[in-house]
Amino acid sequence: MKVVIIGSSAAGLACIDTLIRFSPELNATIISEEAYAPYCRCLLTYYLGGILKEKQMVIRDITSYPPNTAFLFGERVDRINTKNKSVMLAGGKEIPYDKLLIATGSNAAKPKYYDETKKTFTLRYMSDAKKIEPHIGSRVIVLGGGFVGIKAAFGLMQRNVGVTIVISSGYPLSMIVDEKTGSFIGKDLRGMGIDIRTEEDVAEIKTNNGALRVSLSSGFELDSDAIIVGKGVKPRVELAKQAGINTDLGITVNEFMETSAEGIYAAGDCCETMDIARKRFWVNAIWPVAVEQGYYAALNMLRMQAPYYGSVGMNSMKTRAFHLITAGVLKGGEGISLFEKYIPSKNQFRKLAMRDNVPVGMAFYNNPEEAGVIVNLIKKGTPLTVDPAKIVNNEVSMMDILRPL
Amino acid sequence: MKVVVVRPERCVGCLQCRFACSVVHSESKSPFTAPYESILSKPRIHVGVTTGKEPFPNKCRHCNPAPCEMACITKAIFRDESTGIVLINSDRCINCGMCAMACPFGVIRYHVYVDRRTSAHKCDQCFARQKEGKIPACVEVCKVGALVFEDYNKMMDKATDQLASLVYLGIREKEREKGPYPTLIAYKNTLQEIKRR
Amino acid sequence: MSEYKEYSICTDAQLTLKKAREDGVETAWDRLKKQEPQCGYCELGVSCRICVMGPCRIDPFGEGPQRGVCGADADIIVARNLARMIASGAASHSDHGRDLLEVLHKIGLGKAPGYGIKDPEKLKRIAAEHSVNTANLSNEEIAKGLAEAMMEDYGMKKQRITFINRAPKQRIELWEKLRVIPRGIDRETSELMHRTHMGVDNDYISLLLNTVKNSLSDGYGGSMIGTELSDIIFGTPKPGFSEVNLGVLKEDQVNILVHGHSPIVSEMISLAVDDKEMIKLAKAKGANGINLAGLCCTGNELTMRKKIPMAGNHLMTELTMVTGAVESIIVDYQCIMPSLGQVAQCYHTKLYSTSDKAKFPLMEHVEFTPENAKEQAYRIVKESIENFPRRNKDKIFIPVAPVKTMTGFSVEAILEALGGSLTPLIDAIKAGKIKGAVGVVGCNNPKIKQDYGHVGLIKRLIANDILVLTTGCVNVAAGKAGLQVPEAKELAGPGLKEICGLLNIPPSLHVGSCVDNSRIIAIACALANAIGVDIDKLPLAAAAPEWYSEKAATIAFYAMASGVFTVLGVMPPILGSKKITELATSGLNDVFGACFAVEPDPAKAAELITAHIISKRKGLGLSA
Repeated sequence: MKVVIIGSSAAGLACIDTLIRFSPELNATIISEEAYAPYCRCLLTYYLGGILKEKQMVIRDITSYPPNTAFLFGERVDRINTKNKSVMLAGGKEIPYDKLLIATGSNAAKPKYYDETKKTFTLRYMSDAKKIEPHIGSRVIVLGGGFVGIKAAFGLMQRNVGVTIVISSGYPLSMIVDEKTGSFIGKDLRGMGIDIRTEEDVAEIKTNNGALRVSLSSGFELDSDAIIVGKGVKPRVELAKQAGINTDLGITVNEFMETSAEGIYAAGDCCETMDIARKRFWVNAIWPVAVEQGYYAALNMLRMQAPYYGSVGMNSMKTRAFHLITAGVLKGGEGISLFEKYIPSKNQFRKLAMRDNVPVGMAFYNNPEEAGVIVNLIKKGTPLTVDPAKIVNNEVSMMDILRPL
Repeated sequence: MKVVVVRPERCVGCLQCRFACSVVHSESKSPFTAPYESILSKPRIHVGVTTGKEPFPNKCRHCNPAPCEMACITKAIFRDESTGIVLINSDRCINCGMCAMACPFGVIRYHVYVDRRTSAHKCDQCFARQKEGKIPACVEVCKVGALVFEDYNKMMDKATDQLASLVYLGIREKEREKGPYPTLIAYKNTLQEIKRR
Repeated sequence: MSEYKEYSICTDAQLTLKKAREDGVETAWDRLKKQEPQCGYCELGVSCRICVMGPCRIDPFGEGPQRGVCGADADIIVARNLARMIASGAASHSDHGRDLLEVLHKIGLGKAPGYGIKDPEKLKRIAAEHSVNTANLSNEEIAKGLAEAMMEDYGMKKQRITFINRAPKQRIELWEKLRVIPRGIDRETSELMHRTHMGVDNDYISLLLNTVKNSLSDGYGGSMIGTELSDIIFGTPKPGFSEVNLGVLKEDQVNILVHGHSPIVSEMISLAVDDKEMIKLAKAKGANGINLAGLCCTGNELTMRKKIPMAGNHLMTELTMVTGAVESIIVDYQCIMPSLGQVAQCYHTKLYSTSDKAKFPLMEHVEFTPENAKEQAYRIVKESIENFPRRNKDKIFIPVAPVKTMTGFSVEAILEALGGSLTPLIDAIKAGKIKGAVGVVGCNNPKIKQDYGHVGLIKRLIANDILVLTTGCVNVAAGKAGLQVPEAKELAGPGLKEICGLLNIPPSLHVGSCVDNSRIIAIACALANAIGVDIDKLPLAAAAPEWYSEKAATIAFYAMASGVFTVLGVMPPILGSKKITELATSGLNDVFGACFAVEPDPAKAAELITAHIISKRKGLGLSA
């Protein structure tokens, strides 16, 4: 069987590793448009922060793969030829496949004022980091209060850069958490020395001798050496669309990770799956979710008939000051009841969102020990056998949940 | 392949497993000096307590596939193919916390390791001890048989034999004579139930 | 708030626990949670640390080790551990009695300023019991003589301690047959410690019998001496009213608490707080007076004799300081948590230890001897008054109003209430107006919701026309629940209600401190002697619904050994030995005429006890 994988990040690598484990004799080609050895993009903020060297970001040793697995770096796929069952590379080469995995990921969303000549960059690829690096001086503005924005801010702070996060909503992580939680996090971030400006957006960027003078919507002006934009991602569905494969928010797949085209699978940021917490199709653009989907895609390519149970958004953010773990949905939505408990003296809280007796969202702050138990309950949609109020109050130990399971 | 099988109904909460785990992972490996080392060795097995005051030993199951391995963004967590043990390379660990989020059993903790960096920390199935032909420390010290080191298939065969005998004798539920420990557990459950009134 | 209801039934405890959490103060309940899961080996009694060939443990599931290194099996290990518990409890009461004996002796020598003989009639009676000459002698001379006679009870000179003779002759004969007559108070403790050394007594029945012997040397020895001498020196209690719960603390006065056991210290403190000069000083510091209140047994002693109010029992001790209104706590020994120091650090309370035998972290040590006690008491009270201005007046939190309670029911007082003899009581029992009597005694234990066991049991017993006698921490529980006033007769069954109305007594009688369990034993002996039967035929029972201490275990043993069925609310560490468990819960019936039961649910415990009392009544030919 010949397998071709487009994309060598989380989903692509998970797929090839799983294929090799079960079927080492198979022929595979992995194509990446980036000219770098496979790396983890989550580590880019650590690279920018000077904590990790470029070498340390590499997560696979290409030479350790069997000889019938080929890695092509720096090669773009132009289009997919579903009739011939082959992919066409930009340079003209044609690579045939029996099974194809589209793991093209997503691109960082670029707002209207995005302009690399005005030192405004997104942070998605190694090449972005390399572009940003020379411009980092003493001050940087980060646009967007999501995980990418905050992680970038924290990373830069490690290099003693003065960071200002500009958020269009009222508090950080507003896409995921509610206001109370967001303000908690905002307080800790400010305590670490990061400036946060809420309900603001960029109005105008002026350059002045290489430095930037940024005016915000309120009129406030900031000086900066560069602007990093973290305003969400857009799934890369162009190849699929071009090939006539169904897409919606992302490439649509069935429970076996197969697209509308036979023999073509999709995994990772580029595809949409059933979000167990939201109860609708969604793109959960998270590294561990992509890994999982790549794994399931591989199993199904090998005809193991392994249905993917769906995805759940989750994130873990650990800084010097706090550790936040979130999963599922915590806000809005019909029928969601929230249970929360704040312990200001320990700077800790636990929040649980329930739909009837099934947990659909959680946020644990500075309390990571057994967070994974709840995350996995959300992933499996398992009803809770204990009172959720007791879980947030820490009156019930995780043992009461684990023991009957 | 031999695995550590946990029988929580046997656990008496003596916490010997935690102590032994700390000692064998310390520098001096001696119970008399381990508590005085400058970086304290922390146990990788956790004994929780249910609301019915029953102890529950909780350790890494070395899952396959391992959610922690899948979630780790630096590939610090990996599986040793020869033994199937899931290990953490603390040199690669950047303390990002994804593994704790992914672990369905809540067994990962974060502690300072030998090079004074905080990193993720979980049971390593006494990898080093096994290479020397020894069994995991927690199993060695457990005197009630709550932790056993057995070939998984043999364990299941034994369980099948037991079940078969019971079915043959027409006994639906195992009627064990109430030993002292189940009586104690029942009494503790009564105490809790009374408290809730 | 609802979570605090799980810890205690008392409002003052719930509210101060909440404040303690907010103030960041750790309490016994927090520490219990951290300790869980508690080691099952130890809970079953099958862990042994007696020698360093160990430490050993026995696998209760039968697969692991079944014998210690020395070869001891579960029966021996459980028996040895139990023996040591009783030895420790007996030693504690023995010392308590001994200290009072020392004071009595010093009174006899004229070397105890501040102490005197408040009940010379009782002195003569007790002296007569000890064959001490009282004719034409001054009180001091009699005191010296009695003290010297009692010292012999403590030692090697005698073959039988004196107070054993109070028991009915059938009981004494039984004890003689079983060879459990205690020869000397300290001798039995010493021998029991010897027996539990590795390689001495390895027969679990022998160990248990000698455990009984040691417990009898407490019940009829150390404790009884403690009670009788306290009556002689400080006065025999008479019924009267007092108050109980945290509300006894006064926002406008200097609050001084005494905690521990021996009236030797607390009585001196009460003298000092009544002194006019001290009260003047208090007023000068801005207080309206000095308010003395008691905790635990020393509180019981003061309330029995002087009607001084009680602020709380065992689990309340940490919480008193949380009110922010306590200037000082003065302690002597037993049941004082070493955590008090760290709680006091959050407030302005000064802590004083007074006994060389009991020193605590973060407490100032001011040692009391019979010679200097009065002087030291004055010093401490003065310092407490001077501590008053350091109160944070904005943070005073006394969340409840005090509850009225009736106390002071010594044996003598009960007899006087009955008109001078036990006959009215016996008649009431014969007629079925009072079905029987139960001693509800013991401590608090955070494993059981505070006071839930005590109050739940007492309410159900009195509703069944069973007279209740309480000692120790139970008094505070019963008092707070309003069971210790004559009005509580409304909660009693019709027969008991009638009797209480006639005599104007509560259905639950405050009999004293934990050494005053000897008063209950004395009444049981007197009843048995009056009717002419052994104690085990009487419709009596005992219960310790929330016990925690070794002393309580000793009391349970001497109650059982005297023929009184005893129900425990907390499991003792004996389950690891099937044989001992069977003996304790039924076998002992054939030996002593009484056994133990473990029942944490007060409703079920009440059923057990009531059924037991009915069966004893039937045995005597009385109506059910």
